[in-house]
Amino acid sequence: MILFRHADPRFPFIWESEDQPGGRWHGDADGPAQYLADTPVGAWAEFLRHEEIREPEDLVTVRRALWAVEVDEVEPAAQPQLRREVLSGGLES
Amino acid sequence: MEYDRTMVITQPRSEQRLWWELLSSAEGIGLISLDDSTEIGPELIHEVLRLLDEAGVGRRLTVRLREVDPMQVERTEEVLRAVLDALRGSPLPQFEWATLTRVLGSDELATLLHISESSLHRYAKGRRSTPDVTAERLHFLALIVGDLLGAYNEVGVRRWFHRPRTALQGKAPIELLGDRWTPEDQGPKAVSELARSLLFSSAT
Repeated sequence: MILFRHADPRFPFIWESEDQPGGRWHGDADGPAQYLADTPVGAWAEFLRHEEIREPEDLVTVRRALWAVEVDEVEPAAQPQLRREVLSGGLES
Repeated sequence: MEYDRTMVITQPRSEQRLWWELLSSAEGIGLISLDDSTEIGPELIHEVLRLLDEAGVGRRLTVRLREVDPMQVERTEEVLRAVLDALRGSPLPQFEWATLTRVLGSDELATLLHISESSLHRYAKGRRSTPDVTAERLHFLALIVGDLLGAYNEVGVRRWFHRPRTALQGKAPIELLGDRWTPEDQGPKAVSELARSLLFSSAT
């Protein structure tokens, strides 16, 4: 399975360190956690939302790398159980 | 679809975040220039340490960092943190004027620093020494620009300062850099954290 990651083009995309800032599915210094999208468009959407880019004039100034990552297809060991408002809420959730 | 880069995953390196901060900061200051083909490895790191030595930043520390066995992770982290602190606290206007003028343009840079363009040109060309307050602001902006260069070209960096952001309560970064701003103020700190979140973004 090929998954995608939008990243700073100067550095490797992958986290190798515990000392990783918190993200959607992990807390501060709770790494390494890797976040991948199942489509290139999904990876782009994450970046544009993070940067609150809504204008085409901003889009053309973006300088990023899009990594395609081959991942073994395995069943997840656990399924997260989250409330609907967390799954669909805004930045505060 | 064609793929043009591959990566080999090596042993975990817990000091990864610190190296990225150091390299990003060094680019913002103008000590190095990173592009998509730059090999991030020991040669680049030694070059950055050599340049920091030459610039007089944390000289004893960079010597110590060179001497640390890379397998001694905690020791490496400790010295690396000290090098980063020294770099953050060391304005280097002799490098930063050229880099920031190129990236931001002299008009935008003068606006962010709250100085006239004619003063900017005098400082940048070394005709007058850069006042401490301006040097501190310049250094602070250089560190921010270092982080932004991992996401935007020069036009994008300029536009970033003008885009309203939720994390800044709907204000644009430039609005939090008012005429009396210092790097220690809450507003500029929030702007710096926003730029740094690009470097360490976990999202895809």
